[in-house]
Amino acid sequence: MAFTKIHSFDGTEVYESDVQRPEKYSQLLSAITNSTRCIARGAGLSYCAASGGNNLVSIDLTRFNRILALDEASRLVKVEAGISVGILLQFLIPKGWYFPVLPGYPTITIGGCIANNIHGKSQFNAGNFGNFIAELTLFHPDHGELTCSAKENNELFLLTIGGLGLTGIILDVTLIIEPLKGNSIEKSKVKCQNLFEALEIMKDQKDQYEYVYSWNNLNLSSKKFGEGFVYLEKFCNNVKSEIFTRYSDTITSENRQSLKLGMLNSFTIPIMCAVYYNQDRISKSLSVSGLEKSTFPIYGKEIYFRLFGSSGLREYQLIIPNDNAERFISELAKLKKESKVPIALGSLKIFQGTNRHLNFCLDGVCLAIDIPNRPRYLNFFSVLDSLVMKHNGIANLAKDSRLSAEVVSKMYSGYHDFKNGLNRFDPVGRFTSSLRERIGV
Amino acid sequence: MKKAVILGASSGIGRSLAELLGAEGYTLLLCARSQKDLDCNARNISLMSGSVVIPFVVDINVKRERDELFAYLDTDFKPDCIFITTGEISDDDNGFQDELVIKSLLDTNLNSLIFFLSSLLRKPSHNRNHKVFILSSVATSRARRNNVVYATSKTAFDFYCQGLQHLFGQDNIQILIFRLGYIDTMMSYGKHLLFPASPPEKAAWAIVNHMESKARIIYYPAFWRLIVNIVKIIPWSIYKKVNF
Repeated sequence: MAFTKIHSFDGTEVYESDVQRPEKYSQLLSAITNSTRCIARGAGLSYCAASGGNNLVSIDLTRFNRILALDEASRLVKVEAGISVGILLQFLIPKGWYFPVLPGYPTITIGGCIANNIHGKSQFNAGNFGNFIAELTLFHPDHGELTCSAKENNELFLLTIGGLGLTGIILDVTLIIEPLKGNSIEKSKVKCQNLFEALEIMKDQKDQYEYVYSWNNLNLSSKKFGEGFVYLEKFCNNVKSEIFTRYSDTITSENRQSLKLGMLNSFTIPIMCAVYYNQDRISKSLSVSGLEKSTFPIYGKEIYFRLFGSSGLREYQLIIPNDNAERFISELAKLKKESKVPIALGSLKIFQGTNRHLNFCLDGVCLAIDIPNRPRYLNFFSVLDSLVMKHNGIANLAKDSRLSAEVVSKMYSGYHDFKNGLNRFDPVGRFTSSLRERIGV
Repeated sequence: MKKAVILGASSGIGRSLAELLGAEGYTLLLCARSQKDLDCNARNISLMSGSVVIPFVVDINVKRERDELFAYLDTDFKPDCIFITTGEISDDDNGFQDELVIKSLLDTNLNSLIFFLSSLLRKPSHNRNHKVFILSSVATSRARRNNVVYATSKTAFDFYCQGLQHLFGQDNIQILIFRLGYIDTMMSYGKHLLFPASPPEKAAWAIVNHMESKARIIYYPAFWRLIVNIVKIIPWSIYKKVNF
């Protein structure tokens, strides 16, 4: 075994895994069956150590990245789990198809999207990724190859969607696709005075748009807490549609740390946010961009993550039920004022759906917060944990590398269901990760 | 429509070459041992490019299967060009491995390929306007302790192909040898390398771009020609102490 040092994307966790990258099915199956503890790995862009851990085999699936079938009559595409969302989109769009739930970066794999049941900017109308999975093939050395869908092995199907890769290795998946509604995205921008106003605009406008999200400056106090913009996007047809290219110079957990010294701190973050705000304030309120640029807004802006340096960043993404949202925001503003932690990113989304197992899904308001990783700022997130629990909210496990088993079990009502289901299917726990060990499932 | 055969098309450069040639409109015959890998590659290329892609399961170390491939090439497929990308390495290739391991390395990297090419080029129906592209290795530059049998087999096959180049020098048969440096495939993955490994897609692109080249031997990445020449002239008194 040759152990490789790997970082979580946020740079706060380092572990040594035996990373194997099979290229043939025979190698893949032998890598799984020959290891007592393993986990699948895609792009390795989870903020936490979800695809590795100390002394385990991390199986890189990125060479299992093929499109296996396209059934346009049934609106289905079958792919291997290691294919990236960017390549899938480059295949679908010229044929007039689209996938409605996509993460913000093109190299993220379909397997990663399933394991975390990710969401996009369209969560309020499309829901999470799992809503568009018709069927998947799972391999577990003790059970063999299993076809899982709503009709077949349903319990396992539900355990696997948002199951953090702990049920086995996903070999292939059949996804439900939708007809493309236009070749470009029209983006409107509405200024908001604070988080309350942002929320109000988003709720008012959401029925008329495909994508709704915001950027908010959370470094301002009192009535300006969360000043920023709400972005409203919908499909349109633009004559000059964007030409797709191969993705290059993409970010990884390792090259994110190319800057040793972090440039984002309590002095520079308010300046960065003010510059961003003023730049956006003077730009056009209505713009049209290509599907690729709009779908993957982070592509080309990777510098943001690199500016955190090798010490990394911490993200807290949470959902608070609608009824508690306003009270939560008031208390968050107070907490921010007291803690003086610089917040590099604040962004809202609207969510709908019911929570199941450890899936990040709930009717409510989603807020993402990025801060530099400094020991003195950690307490801010601990207090935030209590605040989220107080308001019956949940935190996104894929974005957080510090949530304890105790906190997760209190936040997620389906925690024990998931744990018990997982242990029934795989009592030995062959598939594991640092994340699994930390949250105790 | 041009037709290409790729031996070793299930993974690595063979797979990348298949994807690139498929995108260029070639009709492809993909050959390898694994049915599932070949089927997946064929379906992917066919969906991505619309090309006709035929998976052909063959273990060229087995004579009967080799003969079946020849028969298909002779009567049905009739290729314009052939890419030989197969290769096998072994951990701890210090020259003292188990006899079966050594035999497998010699069969896959040398014997079967010689049998294949000699049968292919001997037949008059095949012996016309052929282009044969051989993926060799910079390991052929000088023997070293870490890949004794692999380098032996690769060097011998490289030498055999140079002999064919001489033999067919006046004919329409083009035999082009690509000596590849580190490529990011399972052969190099996880190993501590002296230089960064080139992605297989880039290597495939370079090979396809040189298909009309009049050269006999091409190094990829090109800087490896310089490295190989330096390695060749290192005095033995120094070379024997270098561990690489």
